[in-house]
Amino acid sequence: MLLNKQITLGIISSDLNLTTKFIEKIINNTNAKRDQDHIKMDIIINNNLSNKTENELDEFVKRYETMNITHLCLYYPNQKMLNTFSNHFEIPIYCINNLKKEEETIKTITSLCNKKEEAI
Amino acid sequence: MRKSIGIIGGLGPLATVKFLEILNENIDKNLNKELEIVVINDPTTPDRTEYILDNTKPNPLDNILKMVEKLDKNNVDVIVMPCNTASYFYKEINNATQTHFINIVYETVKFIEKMNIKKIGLLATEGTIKSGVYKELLDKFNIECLVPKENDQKIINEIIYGCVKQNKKANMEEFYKVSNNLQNEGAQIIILGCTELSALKKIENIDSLIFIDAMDILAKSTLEFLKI
Repeated sequence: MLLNKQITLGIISSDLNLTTKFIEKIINNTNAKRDQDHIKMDIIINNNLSNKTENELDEFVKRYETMNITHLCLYYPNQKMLNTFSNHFEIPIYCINNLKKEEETIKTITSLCNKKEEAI
Repeated sequence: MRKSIGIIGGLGPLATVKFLEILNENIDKNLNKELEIVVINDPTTPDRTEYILDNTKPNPLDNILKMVEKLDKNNVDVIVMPCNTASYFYKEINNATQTHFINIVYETVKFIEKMNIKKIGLLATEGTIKSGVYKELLDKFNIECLVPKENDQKIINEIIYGCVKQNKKANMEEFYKVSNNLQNEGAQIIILGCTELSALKKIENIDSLIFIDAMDILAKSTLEFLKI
């Protein structure tokens, strides 16, 4: 079981407005007394994501491969994005394509944060 | 051609979110360029004020430089850091990258300098105040920097650490009392020199023109630099 501090959540999205709200929900639902109780996130928001070819999406995969993420959120991905990332990563991938999935994902992620630290 | 903003985030996490909100509010909705925003958000970075007040505490610079490295690997066009206190490390951060790094303190003082103001009040963490990052620059423009007295600073500390960072409601009556005290001493404007106070401004809809929001200035400077 990963310790809270070892979680790095990757988020990839094309919508700045919605993604910002999503991140804020994660933060507000984390039981944090200080900054250091929150999880790390590596976020890429690109307004042209849906127009990328598979080769172009591979560039994003390569970038995330260097970032050591442990979990990945694909925020309203198209099928190309889903296929590209699912084929490359063996970490938990949360595909958010509706409000219900978003709420479930927030619950899952914040439960990782709010869990008491356990030994690996 | 892609334009890319790199954000050193998590200092603190809510402030980073509010910075993204400000960017979103100011980006042209009809933008016909590819825009990418990369946020490396590491809230596990040790507290900046703790280190500035006591150098034996964990140094946040290592975490910050790792974030810079990740942003450079993402080929961003500009790096910004929505955190006033961490500007204490401006030189080290700037030296660690070839990418243009915008200094929130410098941009804010540059903005104020155009206003023909002689005396400002600064609401910030003890770390920002003790490091003198604002005073040093303001002195160059002969602008006097007033800071809260000890008891008032405790109120600001509590608002930042006890409220905003913990997602609890701040005592706004106390907040305005502190800012009024600075005004009574002659402050013509008051800098919100902590990004948690900038977050508070958004949360509580503080719209008085007396307040100059450093994070708002940083967001606009970023977009101006990229010409978007």
